[in-house]
Amino acid sequence: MEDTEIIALYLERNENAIHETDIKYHNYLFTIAHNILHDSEDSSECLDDTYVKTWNSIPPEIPKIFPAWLSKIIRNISLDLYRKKNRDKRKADTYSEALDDFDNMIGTGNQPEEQFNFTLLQETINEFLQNLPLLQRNLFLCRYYYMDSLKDAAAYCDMSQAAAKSSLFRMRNDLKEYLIKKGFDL
Amino acid sequence: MKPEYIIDALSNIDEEMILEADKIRHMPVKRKIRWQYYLTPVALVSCLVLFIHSQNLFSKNQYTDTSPTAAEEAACEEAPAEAEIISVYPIQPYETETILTAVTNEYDIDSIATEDAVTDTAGSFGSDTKDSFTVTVSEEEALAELNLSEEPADIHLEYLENNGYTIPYYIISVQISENKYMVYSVPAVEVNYLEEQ
Repeated sequence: MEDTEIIALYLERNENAIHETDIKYHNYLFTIAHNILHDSEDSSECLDDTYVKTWNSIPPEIPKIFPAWLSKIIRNISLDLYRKKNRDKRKADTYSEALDDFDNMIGTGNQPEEQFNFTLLQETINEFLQNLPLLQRNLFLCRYYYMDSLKDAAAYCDMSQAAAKSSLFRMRNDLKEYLIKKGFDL
Repeated sequence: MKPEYIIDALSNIDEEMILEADKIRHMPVKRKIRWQYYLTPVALVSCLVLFIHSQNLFSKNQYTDTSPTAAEEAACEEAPAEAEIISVYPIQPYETETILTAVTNEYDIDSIATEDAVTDTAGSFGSDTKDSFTVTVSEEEALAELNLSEEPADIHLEYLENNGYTIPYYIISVQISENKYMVYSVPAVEVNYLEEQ
């Protein structure tokens, strides 16, 4: 079924919309959750929560790109669950690796949290990614948006792991410079 | 700034970029694991080489009974003297070569094939070609020519190369010590003497 037809079912408040969404995007969404949580049960729970949130959000929202819109929801839900479950510890998984990568990049900024403009950060990162070459951008998003492992992300981009690691390192440094240039205190 | 902020901020990036990145995650497996296409033939060739090598090793290690049979052992026991003679034979070539040179240089080989050279009654060279001759000298005549003081241990005919001709020679071996032989060669065809020895 086409995305527009599924969205139409949501708009009609037809419960079949969730079933059709699951048929079409179960694997895609489950993979995103599993990349973050590394637990099938938790991933399924996040998937259910995603369907509920989708049901509650459409209408009034009408997604432009339905799978990307769904991916954002399940990513946020999965990140929340991960942080809730691992509040005081860091595990050796893709999320922690990503966190370490950015931790090393950021350093010790003194900007108070209440002065921090999260919306501006989103816009700045969005601009930075828009200006990246396609291959680098896809690598960055595979690794830090979809939380794919370095091995998988490198394979998706047809690169060696060493080349991917080096490329990601350069992009993080470029992002750091870009954020500083835009006034962020890192 | 906390690193979590960047990870969270990524959740609100442009949906087009998210979709674009997802496309490469669903690209055909062929592109993603291209190295396997190179590895597969290498693995196959390696397996083939190993297989052939193992076959060679197997054939080399195959047990073959090389121990003599009872009949062979009996035959060896029966003929120990013959085996001893064969074992000392390699001593001869140096002597053989020396004598051959000494004797054959006395003859004018080129004249063998000519009608004028045929003076012997034992035969003629009528049907011979220039590089192939038939025997025209008897063993007794050859032995008489050497004027040996002892009986020869062996006398046989051999065709030897001399100045481009294949000439029959009597090879006459005379035992001079326990394991040493003097070997003479005498042409088995009539030749002209260039000079008297």
